[in-house]
Formats: sequence, C-alpha cells, structure tokens
Amino acid sequence: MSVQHKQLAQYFLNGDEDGALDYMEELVKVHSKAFLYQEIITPAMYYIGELWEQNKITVADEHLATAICDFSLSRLESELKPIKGKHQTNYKALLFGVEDEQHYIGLKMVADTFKEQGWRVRYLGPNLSMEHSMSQIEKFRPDVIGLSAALSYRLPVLKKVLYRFMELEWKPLVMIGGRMAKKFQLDEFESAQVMVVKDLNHLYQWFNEGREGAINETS
Amino acid sequence: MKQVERVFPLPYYRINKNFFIYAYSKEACDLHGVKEHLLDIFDEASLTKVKGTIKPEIQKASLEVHLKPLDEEDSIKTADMYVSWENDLYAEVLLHVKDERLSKVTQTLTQLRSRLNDTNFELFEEKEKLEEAIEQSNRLSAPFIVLSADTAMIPLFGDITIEKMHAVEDSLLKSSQREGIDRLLFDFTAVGEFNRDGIHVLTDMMKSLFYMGAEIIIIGIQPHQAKQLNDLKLPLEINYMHSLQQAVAKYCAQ
Ligand code: B12
Repeated sequence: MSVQHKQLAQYFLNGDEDGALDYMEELVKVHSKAFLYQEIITPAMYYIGELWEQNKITVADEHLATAICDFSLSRLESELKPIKGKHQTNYKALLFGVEDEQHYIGLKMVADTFKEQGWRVRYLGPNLSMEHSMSQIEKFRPDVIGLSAALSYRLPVLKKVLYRFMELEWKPLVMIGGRMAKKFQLDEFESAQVMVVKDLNHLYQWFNEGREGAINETS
Repeated sequence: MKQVERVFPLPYYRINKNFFIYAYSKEACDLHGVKEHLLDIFDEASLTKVKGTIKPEIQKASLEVHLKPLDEEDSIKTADMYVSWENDLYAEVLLHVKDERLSKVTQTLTQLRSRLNDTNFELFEEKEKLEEAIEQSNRLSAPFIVLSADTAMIPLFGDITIEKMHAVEDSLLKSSQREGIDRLLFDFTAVGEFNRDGIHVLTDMMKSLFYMGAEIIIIGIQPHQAKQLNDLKLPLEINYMHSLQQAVAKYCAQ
C-alpha cells in the first residue's frame, strides 16, 4: 500500500504549503499529472475525511487542508503551463459547482485535466446560482457542461439544473461528477446528453475513446 | 421519554447504548424536535463516526458531528458533542452547535476564494486573448507572396518557434501546391532567433516541399544560422543566396 497520499495529507493539515508543493513537484517528475490527481491528491483528501471520522481532526483542520491543497494545485498548474499560441482543439468546457455546494477541489483538477487535453475551459468555481451559470453558458456556448456535487442534499438542485441544460438548443453534453456521482446511483439521469462520471480515470477513458458523436465537431 | 430541566442552556439527551433517548432538554427539542432515537438527528455521513465513538468502552468522549437539515430550506449543521457514560447502560450527551462562528469563517473564506477565482478568471481571459493574438501573429509571420508565374516568396518574421511553424505549416504547404509555382524563396532577412524544435519543423517542411518537386532557395541567412540549418541535413540541392535583390534579379527578371 502506498503511503504517499498520507504524507501529502500531512503537509495539507500542517498548513505547510511549501512542503506540499515540493512534494507534488517531486511526484510529477516521475509520474503523470493524472496519476498525481487520481492516486495521490484525491486519496489525500479522502484520507482527511477518514481522519475526521476517526475523531482525529476537526472541520477547521479540513478548511486549512483545503486551502493548502487549493493553493498548491494553482501553483503547480501555473508552473507547468507556459503561454502557448495554440489550442489543440476547439472544444469548450464550462465547469462549476451547483448552488450551496462548497466542495470544489475535485472540480479544479477536472478543469486542469480538460485544459491539458487542449480544451478551452471556463472554471467558474463552486456555489454558482442558476441565473449566473445560465448567463455564462449562453455566452460561452460550451460543448461540455461539467457539474460537481458532494452533498447528498444537492440532488434536487442538480435535477433542476439538468432539466434546464437539456433544453439548450446546441445540446451540450452534461457531465455530473463529485462524491455524489460516486456514492449514489444516478443512473436514472443518464442519457445521450447526460453522463455520470465516477472519477478521473473514467474521464480519461472518455477522452480516449468515448468522445465521438457525443459532441458535435462544428460548434 | 421525558423532558427535563438542565442547568446548562444546551441540547441535552440521556440515551442508552442503543441510542434510544430516555430524556431530553427543551433546547434539544428546539433543535431537532422530539426524536426517539439519537441517530435520527445526524447526517448519514456522520453515523460511522458516532457509532464508533459513542460506546460504553469509551467512558468520556468529545467529537464533532454534522446534523441533518430539518427540511429542504435548512442546511446541515456542525456541532460539538460531549458524551459521558454513567455506567455501561446510560450516557449523558450534550450538543453545542457551532454553526454561527464556523459559518462566519466559512463565508469569509468563500468570499476570498471567489475573489481569487474571479481574478484568476480575468487573468485567464487575458491569457486567452494573448494566446489568440500570438496565434494570429504566428499565422501572419510567413506570408506567401507570388512573385511571378512560377516563383513565390515566403518572408519569415521574428523567432522561429515551434508554435509559429505549426501555425504556418498548413497554409504554406497548401499555397505551394498552387498551379505553376515550382520555386520557393525563403527569406530569412527578418528572422531573429532559431529555436531547436521550431527549426526542425521548418526544415521538415522544406524537405517535404523539396521532395514534392519545388526548388528551394534560402535568402538572407546569417552565417551562424546557416550552420544550424546545415546541422539538420537539408537536401544538398537547396540553394543559398545573399540578398533578396539578387534573387529577384535572377528569378523574376522577364
Ligand atoms: C475537504 C472537505 C470539505 C472542505 C471542502 C473543500 C473541497 N474539497 O472542496 C470543507 C471544509 C470546506 C467542507 C465543507 C463541508 N463539508 Co465536507 N468534506 C470534505 C472531505 C473531507 C473531502 C472532500 C474532497 O476534497 N474530496 C477530494 C475530491 C478530489 O474528490 P471528489 O470531490 O470526489 O472529486 C473527484 C471525482 O469525484 C471527480 N469529480 C469531481 N467533480 C467532478 C465534476 C465533473 C464534471 C467530473 C467529470 C468529475 C468530477 O474528480 C475528482 C478527481 O479525483 C469530504 C469527505 C469525503 N470522503 O468526501 C467531506 C464531506 C464531503 N463533507 C461533508 C460535509 C457535511 C460538509 C459540510 C456540510 C459541513 C462541514 N464539514 O463543514 C460543509 C459543506 C458546505 C457546503 N454547503 O457545501 C460530508 C458530506 C455528507 C453528506 N451527507 O453529503 C463529507 C462526506 C464528510 C462527512 N463524512 O461528513 N468539506
């Protein structure tokens, strides 16, 4: 069993942003970013959840850990990405967390993953109201709309936004991800236009094979 | 089950080890109504923690838990919980909801974060504009100029980078397929630095054009640039000329 995620979680919990960043930088020298996201950072955050369940840390610690994780992700992203004159594709993705949802670390990694695949990405952060997201969507006209939700109580909101997005005339693909997609059976939502994504591997799989036909090339 | 008066104005419960509620305070009732079972007040994702911590073997415990929202309007609350076992059968439980302080911190953090995200977003939009501008300028840095029926000139501008070469590759290959053009003058007079990968793409492009039958003439190249090009093993038949003037005089005089 790997202990790297526990080590990283420790840096997060200690508020040690330099330690966390150094650790991540060492890891991306030998591993892909996909591996870092899926096999180290995500488990590190889940591990923090376990520590809370074991009564070893509090929500305040989770806040600190999240801030350090967020910061390191941003730094890592900016360090690895020079300004280039070209996008590999013309696909566009718009990502956000539904109203009252504060869990966004997963979404942030997803945003970066789309960027790495050459997509144009609008990452709007967590807790976005319906009006706000609609106006951004109309303006940007994304091929993929990605939603994230962790809390089980978000199910009604999620339903509401889904139905709105299905009415969009250019028929973007709507992806649902986050803890909710992992924990709960959301199959009833799935259709040609809606996809439930369990984790990053699932997303990569889609990038590699499943995309044809799901979004139209010309938009 | 009965309501009791307590000294502390906090939600209080007396439970057995199956979490059955024997007594509760008024504050407990205000918090979550009258419940038979203590487990009914917790969020589902707190249950493992509660069951793992509240048991007679752990005589005194304090833990943080999340309480279920009361209805769709309500939100999940975080509370500190203090447990003390009187004996193996009964425990006293005190709750202290800490939402107000916590939500203030949370809100502040959220605002900071969203401001950061907005800034980030603006920066990102600027970056995209910049990227578009760079691409635009890349595409324009190798125009295809037809000089005569069979000769075209491609003046290159600025540094030879991989992005730039990729940006011009397609249109150059296409333009040079045009009927009648069988001589291409690459003018390096306005070229700055060579970038390794960029020059690779450029020489590959020249090689393709050459094998497709075009005569390639390189103009205005600096000695140190010529050396770099030579290292890349261009076909020997490529000609070099000192200046554009010379080239035009030779190939375009009719
Ligand atoms: C850290 C954390 C927080 C941080 C949030 C920071 C953040 N991560 O954004 C803070 C402290 C702010 C927080 C707040 C709260 N939290 Co919290 N939190 C967690 C914790 C410990 C980890 C979450 C996390 O970071 N996961 C890591 C990410 C990377 O995983 P992920 O979201 O699943 O994302 C992956 C995939 O799902 C996928 N993905 C995600 N989104 C998308 C979107 C698309 C389009 C695609 C394709 C893929 C995709 O990509 C990711 C890559 O691996 C969890 C415990 C757990 N096991 O989940 C609790 C947990 C989710 N939180 C919980 C609770 C109760 C809360 C609070 C209500 C109370 C509190 N703790 O203060 C508030 C909620 C406020 C609100 N209104 O939203 C509960 C939820 C219970 C429930 N019934 O749903 C949990 C389960 C803890 C628990 N056991 O009680 N929390």
